[in-house]
Amino acid sequence: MSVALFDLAQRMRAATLGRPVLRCAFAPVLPPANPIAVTVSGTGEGAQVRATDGARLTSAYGPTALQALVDLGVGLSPEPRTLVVSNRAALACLLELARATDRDAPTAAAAAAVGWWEQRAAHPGTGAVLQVTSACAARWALGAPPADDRDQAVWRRWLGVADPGPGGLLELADRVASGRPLPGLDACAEQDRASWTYFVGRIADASKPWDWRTRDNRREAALGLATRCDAAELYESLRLGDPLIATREAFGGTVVSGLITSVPAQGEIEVTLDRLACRLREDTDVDGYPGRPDQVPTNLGRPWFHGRVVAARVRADGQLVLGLRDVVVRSGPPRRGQRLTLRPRAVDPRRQRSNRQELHRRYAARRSWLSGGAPPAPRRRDVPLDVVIAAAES
Amino acid sequence: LAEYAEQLLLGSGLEVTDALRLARGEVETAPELSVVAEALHAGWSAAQEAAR
Repeated sequence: MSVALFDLAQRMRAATLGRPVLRCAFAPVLPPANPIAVTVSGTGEGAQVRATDGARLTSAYGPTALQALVDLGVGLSPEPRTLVVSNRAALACLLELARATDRDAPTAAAAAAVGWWEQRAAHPGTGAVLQVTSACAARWALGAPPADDRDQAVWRRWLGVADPGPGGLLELADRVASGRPLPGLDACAEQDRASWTYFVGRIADASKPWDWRTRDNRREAALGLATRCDAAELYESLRLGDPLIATREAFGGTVVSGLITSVPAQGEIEVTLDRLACRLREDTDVDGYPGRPDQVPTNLGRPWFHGRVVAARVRADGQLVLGLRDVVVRSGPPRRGQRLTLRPRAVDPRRQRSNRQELHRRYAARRSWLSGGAPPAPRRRDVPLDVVIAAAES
Repeated sequence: LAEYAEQLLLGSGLEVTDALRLARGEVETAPELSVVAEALHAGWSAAQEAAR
């Protein structure tokens, strides 16, 4: 509820000012790379694709509507390009056209690129696809109810962009990606490049012909799910490095702040929190920094503080106290009275990559059920909400 | 936005204009509304920071 009130106040502020207000200090998306903005209307024979790269505007109709992309050089180029679309629904329309494209058609390479874009769109933080409405909603609050955030026309009106076509999309993309990107997002760009190189290489490999439309086998599906989960976790973790997001999350309890009130032994502290909202459960590894949530350090190096939550209790005076162990403070031993902000330990993309390589090795092993053995009994585990939604949508 | 705000504030006993004044920090807060007031004021202030 507190987070909803925090958001409401930002919207009221925007309504009072008559212009959008920032929800984050950094750009929440990577700068578009050689972008191409696309709008799709109609389906099948009646489909129309309009596209622009900023210099030229192209348009094509019907089953060969992807020619509008070919005319702008979309294909299996050495470097991936950023697709700019209004939302996921526009990408789904584009994918429908791509799937219907004959593999020997002149638009086949553009269709494959659409297939790759659709795959990458399920990876939060990707620079391969920029969905304008969700990116704008991540960056700004409007003086309008949240349902309006899904309407591209509303964003154009609030941001003063007149063109309702692909040119307007490109302008919105430039605006939303302007300024310094969220620290650490470059890891997502690296993953995009690696994914593109693998995708293009697989299509070009004449020794093992592969059609991008082919359904994943069990091993590919499992690894794909792991990759998408990792991307969602990394992006959520990086977002907490933005001071405005950290301030907001302090009202939801993902980030907590308080004073060190006890140092019972070396490597152990107790922190009395400012608020009762706390999502840091026992056995959660945490990072921390001195000061309030908005004083988040901008460097991504070693954290100033790390430790593990071992206990949480509410004192007689109603204040929440967190007990932490395995505490290491970079600047020296912790002191009573010191103000501290805690957040879940930052996700390390290199560790994620090495975990995925290990998964790949295990899934490929002869004894793995994914490569031919009997399936194991189902087991419940937490899956990030983004992944659940992406699965539901597809 | 006013309609959305009304729905969100339902149950808190606050009108939209009260919420706006709390967000702006223009009124003293009753203790039972301190959490609501703090969240509103923080959101308003964060947006104000961003607008500069």
